[in-house]
Amino acid sequence: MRALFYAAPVDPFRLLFARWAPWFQSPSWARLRAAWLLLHVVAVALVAFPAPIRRLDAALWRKPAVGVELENWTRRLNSAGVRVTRREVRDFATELAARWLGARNTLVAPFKAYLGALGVPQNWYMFTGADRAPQRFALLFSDRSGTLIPVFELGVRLDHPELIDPEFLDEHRVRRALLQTSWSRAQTFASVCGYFARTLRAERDDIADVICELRQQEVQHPQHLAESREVIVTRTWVVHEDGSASDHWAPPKKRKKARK
Amino acid sequence: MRRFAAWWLALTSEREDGTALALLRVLVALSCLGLIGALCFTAEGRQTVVFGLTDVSSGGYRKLAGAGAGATLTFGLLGLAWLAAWLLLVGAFGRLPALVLAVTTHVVLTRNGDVSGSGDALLGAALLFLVLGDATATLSVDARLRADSFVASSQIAAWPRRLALFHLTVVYVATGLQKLVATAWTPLDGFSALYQILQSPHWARFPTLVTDGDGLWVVPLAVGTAVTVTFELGFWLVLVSRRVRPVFATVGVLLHLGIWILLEVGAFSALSLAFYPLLFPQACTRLGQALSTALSRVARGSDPGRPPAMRRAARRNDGSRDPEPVPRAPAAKNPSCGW
Repeated sequence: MRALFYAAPVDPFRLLFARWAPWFQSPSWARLRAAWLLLHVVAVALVAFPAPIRRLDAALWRKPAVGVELENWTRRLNSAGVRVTRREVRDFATELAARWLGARNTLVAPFKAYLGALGVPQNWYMFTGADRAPQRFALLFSDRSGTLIPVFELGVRLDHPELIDPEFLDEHRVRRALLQTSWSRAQTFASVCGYFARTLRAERDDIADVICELRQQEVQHPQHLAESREVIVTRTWVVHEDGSASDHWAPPKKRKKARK
Repeated sequence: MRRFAAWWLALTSEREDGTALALLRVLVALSCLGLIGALCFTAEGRQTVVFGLTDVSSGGYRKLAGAGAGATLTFGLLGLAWLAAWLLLVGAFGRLPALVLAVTTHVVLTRNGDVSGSGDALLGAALLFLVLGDATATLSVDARLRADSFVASSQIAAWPRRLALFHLTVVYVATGLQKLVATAWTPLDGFSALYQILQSPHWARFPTLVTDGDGLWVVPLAVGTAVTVTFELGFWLVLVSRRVRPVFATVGVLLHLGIWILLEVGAFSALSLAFYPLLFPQACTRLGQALSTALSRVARGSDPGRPPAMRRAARRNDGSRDPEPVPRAPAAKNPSCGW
């Protein structure tokens, strides 16, 4: 083993650059390195500087987390003596964000490309705002008699650990994907639902429909501990036994009637 | 302008003891082993890889752009990354393991943006610094081969460590500035951010912990929120003053410990903490010296009957290599406020 280590190159990079070793000690290299480092530091700082993740469009304003922030800022501005309506604050924020994003994107585009090529993107959006009304992913299936059987509701319950591994649901990458089902386009929700449908059908052969839901419930706010919080279903996706899919579920009898 | 250029040139040309960067290497390698090991050697990890990091044709939940998103190749790349992480840990083959690890983890872990997070981005950055710097100068097999001791006294370029420290600062300050948009992180909404985040089914390890507490957590979590945002916004101070570093390091360790206990964010906390030895290069040098002394004592203790010169002579008779031991150089004077 010891002989193997001695025979192997200690550092391939050293061997590769051995020819240029004297140049790496020269003042020219020191100046070149200093210039590159300055460029790198500026690039990192500029690209990491905060900006909205995307354009503030109508769909985003409808999100409860964003809506509550708008409400809070309007209230605080009014209490500070600035008379503004919710709509004015929204329009101002939309315009400001659009201008800021436009100018920033032009400025950082070359730096962003450089950092992307280097493999060090600078997206540090970590818990930027609390999601005040998270949408929980829930999975159910119906058997052939039309009985609905819940499998899990993320963060709330897991009824069938033999079908879905609880450790799997605890994986942060899985949770991230389930979070994306509520924030990104509907296609992601359908894709995730399709995955769970395949998983359930591989485990049991008596499954008729697999139903995925997004259930939204406001989180408890420390200033309103006693308030009741209603659960609403915001999105549904059903994968039927024949492989087709739809955005609503009906028991088999109703489905037959609807067909007639 | 000329003065700034001269200062910058001096700052980027300085050399220092390599122990701090070597510690970054060891801690990043351990984090990688934990991260990749959890994905490859546990049932839920393998299921997660298939679910999120492979194409729908291989059992994943969505189509992934580009070739090579099949399960076999994905696990093959993760296996290669696992091997590279071990080599990085022991410090063999110089920068090569860090480069292999950077490429493989970048290809596999960031191919699906939906399941990739800040931990993966921080891992990419950490590995970049390990490729740029001579992180195997000490505490490594390479050092053993070069200087006949696992703990060597090589002086290496200081700029990779400084760049890494700057990067950590950018991570904290950027996320702190982002938080100011949300009233929950400010007194405007009673510093309620952590109280609300810890109820998230997507991040919280115990989503019902806060609501079950019946108001018990309101004040501690408000204090935690205030401390978090102050820590993040003020972290740039570590670049200008060495005195504040112990305070920020203590708060940072507690913060990441809290994140690790209460939130499910993967290897982000471990990777962030891996950067912390870079805050204390002098202490790292002293640690290296202490390790060097301890290793010499152990070596002497293992063969008490023969003095070192006799042992060297005996090894020469064996035909094995025996370079002259290199004495540890004293810590270099640092004109740049201990960056």
